[in-house]
Amino acid sequence: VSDLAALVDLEWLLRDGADSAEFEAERARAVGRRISASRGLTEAAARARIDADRDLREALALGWLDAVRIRRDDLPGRKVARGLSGAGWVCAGLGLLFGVGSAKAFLAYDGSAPVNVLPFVAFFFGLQIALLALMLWFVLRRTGGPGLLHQPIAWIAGRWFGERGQAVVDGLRATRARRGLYAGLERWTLFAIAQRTGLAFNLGALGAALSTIAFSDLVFCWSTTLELDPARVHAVARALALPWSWLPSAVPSLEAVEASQWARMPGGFVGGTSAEDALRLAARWWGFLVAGLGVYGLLPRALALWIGGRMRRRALRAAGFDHAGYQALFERMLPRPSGWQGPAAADVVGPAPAAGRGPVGPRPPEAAGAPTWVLVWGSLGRAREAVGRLIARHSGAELRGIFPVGGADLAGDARAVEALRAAAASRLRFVAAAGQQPTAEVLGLLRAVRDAVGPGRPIVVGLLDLRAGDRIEPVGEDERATWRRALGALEDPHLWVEAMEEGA
Amino acid sequence: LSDTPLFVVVGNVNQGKSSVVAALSENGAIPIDSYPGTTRRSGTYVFRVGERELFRIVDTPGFQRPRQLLAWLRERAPSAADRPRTVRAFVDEHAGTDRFPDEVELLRPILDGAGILYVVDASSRLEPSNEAEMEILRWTGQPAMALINKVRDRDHAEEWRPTLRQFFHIVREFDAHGARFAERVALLRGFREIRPEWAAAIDEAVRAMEGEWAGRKRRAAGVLADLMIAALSHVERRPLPDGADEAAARAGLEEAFRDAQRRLEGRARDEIERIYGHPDLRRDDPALELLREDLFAETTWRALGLTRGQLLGYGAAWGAAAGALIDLAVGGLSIFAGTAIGAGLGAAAGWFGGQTLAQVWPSSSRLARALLPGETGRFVAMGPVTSARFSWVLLDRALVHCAAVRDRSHARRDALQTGTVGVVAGLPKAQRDAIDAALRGVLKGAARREVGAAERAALAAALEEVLGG
Repeated sequence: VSDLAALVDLEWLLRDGADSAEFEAERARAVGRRISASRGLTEAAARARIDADRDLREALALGWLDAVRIRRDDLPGRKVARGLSGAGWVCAGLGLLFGVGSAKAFLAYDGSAPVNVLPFVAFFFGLQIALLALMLWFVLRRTGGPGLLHQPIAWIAGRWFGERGQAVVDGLRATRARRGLYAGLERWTLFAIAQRTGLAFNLGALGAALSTIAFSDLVFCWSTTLELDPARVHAVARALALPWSWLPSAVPSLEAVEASQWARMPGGFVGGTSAEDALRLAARWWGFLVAGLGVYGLLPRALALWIGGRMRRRALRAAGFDHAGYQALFERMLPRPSGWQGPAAADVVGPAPAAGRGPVGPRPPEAAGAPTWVLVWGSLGRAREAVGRLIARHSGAELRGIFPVGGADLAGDARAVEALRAAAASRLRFVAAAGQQPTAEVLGLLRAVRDAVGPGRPIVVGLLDLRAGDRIEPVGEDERATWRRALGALEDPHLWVEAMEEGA
Repeated sequence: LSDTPLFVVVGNVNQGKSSVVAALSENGAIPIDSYPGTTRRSGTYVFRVGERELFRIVDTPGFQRPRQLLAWLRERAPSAADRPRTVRAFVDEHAGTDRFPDEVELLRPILDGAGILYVVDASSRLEPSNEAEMEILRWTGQPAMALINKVRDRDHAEEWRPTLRQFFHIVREFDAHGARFAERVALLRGFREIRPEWAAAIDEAVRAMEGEWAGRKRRAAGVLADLMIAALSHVERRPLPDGADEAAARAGLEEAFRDAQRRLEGRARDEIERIYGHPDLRRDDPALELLREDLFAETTWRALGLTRGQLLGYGAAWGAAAGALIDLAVGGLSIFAGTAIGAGLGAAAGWFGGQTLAQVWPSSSRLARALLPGETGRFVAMGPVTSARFSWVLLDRALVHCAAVRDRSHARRDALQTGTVGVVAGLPKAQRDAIDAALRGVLKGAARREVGAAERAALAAALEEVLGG
């Protein structure tokens, strides 16, 4: 991303708790398809590479943002970018004015006393170097990053822009959780703005100095309360002039330094330099000052601005596009490289069984001593004697016949039904093993039994978990409920489902 | 007949066929109910890599009248060679009628060349109707595998196995409700044995699934890292209008801070569930409780986060490291006093340091102003989190939830239960050390308002390692 506005917009749209309408799958999917195709990838291939390919993530995120921007013009990114750019130009303008003013002030000359070069050197050389070093230290120590931009923006917005400003503050709060990811970007953005200001300051100072030198006659001196001898001042000046030592006219000689020492008391050059000589020496001094302004002011600021710009772009490029917000976005933009597709639930599911009327009472009529016929379904048929004993023991019924049904031989079912018809069975128990399902076969048999014995005869269905030694384990109520639900479809008011366990 | 491998899942009603398909296809929307015949029409579930279909699984209605069907077939097949043709004749004759609708529906894909997955419920007894089903499937002449599923606690698997082996040359057990990714992949690999010519497609599908699974793990680790950064960096603010009671605002502030932590945890959970394909999961566990009442209760120490001993150990280690820097700075003149004092202070911090979740700041404090840029007027603020212990508790809950979601079968329809016993205390030391270092980086960053990309990456990498299982 070389575009701060885009990054701001993306973070704004992907912030925690944001309205996810823009994620709308179809639109996002269309963008994902287009970006994948533009890179010669299928959507699945793009999705498979997404974790490892930062450039692809960036392209997808920006593609999606472009699509969102078509529909929305209320995103804050461009405002933030424009605001920062505007702030940068305002700062540069202020820097320019301040530079012009400072140079004019330090070179102010009314002919009564020559211009003292020492304050000029201290301010334009020394102070600038110190400020630049401070700024570099501030940026390179990598602390205090997030909030560098947030704070001034929020401060200005919160105080001076009323409700709209408060919305900005709220937005900054909302993106706070992730701002640490962009600490470098904030630092270098601030650094670049500061260097632009510094560059403008130095350009202003240089322009003002050159115009003053060109359009007025200046006489320079050096003057200090400190006990500095000309040799030491010359040594310092020569050291400062090392970068442009190849330009002798801009390096003050020892003679020039000696000749330009000024004493305000009695108000003349210490060495008794004449006015003509002082004017001649001025050429050496202005060359020195202008060169110093360029080398210690303008050049470092231009270099710092260039570095700051590069580092800012690098910080922009370092955005990983990989936090949870982006993951959720890519999930919607690209189908998974592999995955399942299936029918909708409504296409495979059948109607739930009708509740039916259910039995006439909560329990069948008392069984003790009543003649009872028993149908034993499926695998329980092998243990029908044990089943009979259990029923007799638990219900006190008088067993008249036990018939295995649901076996391998279909004819066995028919024989049992006919036997019940012949006996005019008055009361029946149907027993199946726990786990047996009320299939169409089972329901069909029960229907046939009802037809055989006639309406009104109680039929009690039981599920039995019979273990070794005729031990009975409880059967889950949900299993009985499943049977009740299925048998309800028979609409038989004399058909019950009961527990078959010890004590029941 | 398509070249795409096709498997059809058949069995008696309510044996868990749809559960098996739901688990394999990670489809939580497949209707699963206790009433027999929930599935009335076959549903085809396609596994694709890109645009290519690698294989299909068909979920079918269960057998409802297998004994009657077998009797019909036996009456019409004079020899073994006639059996597949007779099955086809059965389907042709009964298609569109209401006599055997379920059987027609389930036999049709088999006759189209599908491999058979015959599902039985080991909590039911082997019934004659089941034997009829197996016989019918044998008559189709298609390759088949038997799957022993278990819907309930009863176990009759021993009764089933000898019979199943008579009808199927591959018999496997598969717990549809408890199957994790490894078991699902193992079962899919087993599909190769049904028809060896389909092995290449199955292998490719398994590779794709494993790749997708690794991607999910990476994304989940990122979500957890984002949760930790957001929660530990969180600063809650309460305005103090003129005349407002500051004490009351402070009390409300703490509750709001806890609510914010819960919200963050909830959002991360939603995201994890979405990553693992459980977007509409119900959760039974309570919201994040920040141990307000009983921060140092022994039960709490045991349940979540690190043990007391581990916290003390880490505190001592980090303190010693800081002290050692002082020793180095003075060229060893301190005779390791810095290391010793640092270890002591660190241990004490580890023991007592978790007591305060986060600092409360008045609006006049510089930190509050810095943490809440642009705030005007009076307010009280709380955060960021300073308690290393809390960070471990929060992470532990997140990991427990993530593991529960990751390992949850899509066949389950109950609420997610994550339990209350943590995992971090039992992690291998190397993994725990990596997380501790990353968490300290986050806490340190949160305190100075900068949790950068490097800290996030370190935490995500450490968590990805933990989620590996």
